[in-house]
Amino acid sequence: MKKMTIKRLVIISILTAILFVQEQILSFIPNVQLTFLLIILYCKTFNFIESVLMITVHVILDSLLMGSFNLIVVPFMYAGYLVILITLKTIFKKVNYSLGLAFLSILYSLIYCWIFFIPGVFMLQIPFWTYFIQDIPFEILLAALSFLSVLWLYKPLKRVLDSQLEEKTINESGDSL
Amino acid sequence: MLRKKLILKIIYSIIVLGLIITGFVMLAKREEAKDNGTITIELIDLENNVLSTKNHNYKVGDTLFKILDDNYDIEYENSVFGGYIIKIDSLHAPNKNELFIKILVNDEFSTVGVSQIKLENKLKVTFILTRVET
Repeated sequence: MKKMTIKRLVIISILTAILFVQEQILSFIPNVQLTFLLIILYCKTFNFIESVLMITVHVILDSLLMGSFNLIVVPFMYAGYLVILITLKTIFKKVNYSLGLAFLSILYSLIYCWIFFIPGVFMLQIPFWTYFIQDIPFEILLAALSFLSVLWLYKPLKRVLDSQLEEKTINESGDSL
Repeated sequence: MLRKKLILKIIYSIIVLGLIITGFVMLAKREEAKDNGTITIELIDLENNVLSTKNHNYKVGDTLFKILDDNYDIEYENSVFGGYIIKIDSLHAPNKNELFIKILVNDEFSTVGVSQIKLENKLKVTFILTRVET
């Protein structure tokens, strides 16, 4: 396995912080966020383990801060984000252009919303069709905003991130690599 | 080729922006009464005891939220899509991960939030304090 440099570790930490903070800043409008854009970007840039770590930290911090660190939210939120990672690393590995990823972000947003049908129906005991109808406007918002953000921001952000990761780094003893 | 791609991106964006506006309008819509009438509001606690059943008259332009605010001791969290009720008289759900107030309209689960429930004559709205089953 490739050794993680300090610079890479710092970048991963900062990016995880950005992922968490942007969601909190935008949380006053439900389902308006850049989370799907950033997770897609991170999954396409970092390896599987690094991406899992970023998603795990985000899910734990987000649910702790929002007071939802429980079985109704955490496992389903985690599963919703891991679907993105697993599919981007396997069946959609070759999709690297922004339009394709933008359409995938619609699929991911819908899967994320539909996963929450499980706690909604079984734990909150809301009838399926009621939950389904209630959720439609929120699904439209989430999918549409994810699509737009990936379509317009993925390419420039990817370019910046790649250039940051490509730069020469120094090892622990301070020598140039 | 690049120009064609850009045009395609702009077209997709316009369509999606339309969807976003539709979503916001659907969620932020406030339902006001179109005529005068009477509704019944029922409060039920965790043990399924009916705490109160009251009839309220409303007039054109009133909302369910206004009736609740005028006649009950309510607490709510504000969001851009309307109020999320956490207390009505003795029904109190301060932590939404443990308790929530379920809304029934004419004995059926409401498909919309309290701000979007349309007032109609003889409408029955039931608020039930419910425990989250984990």
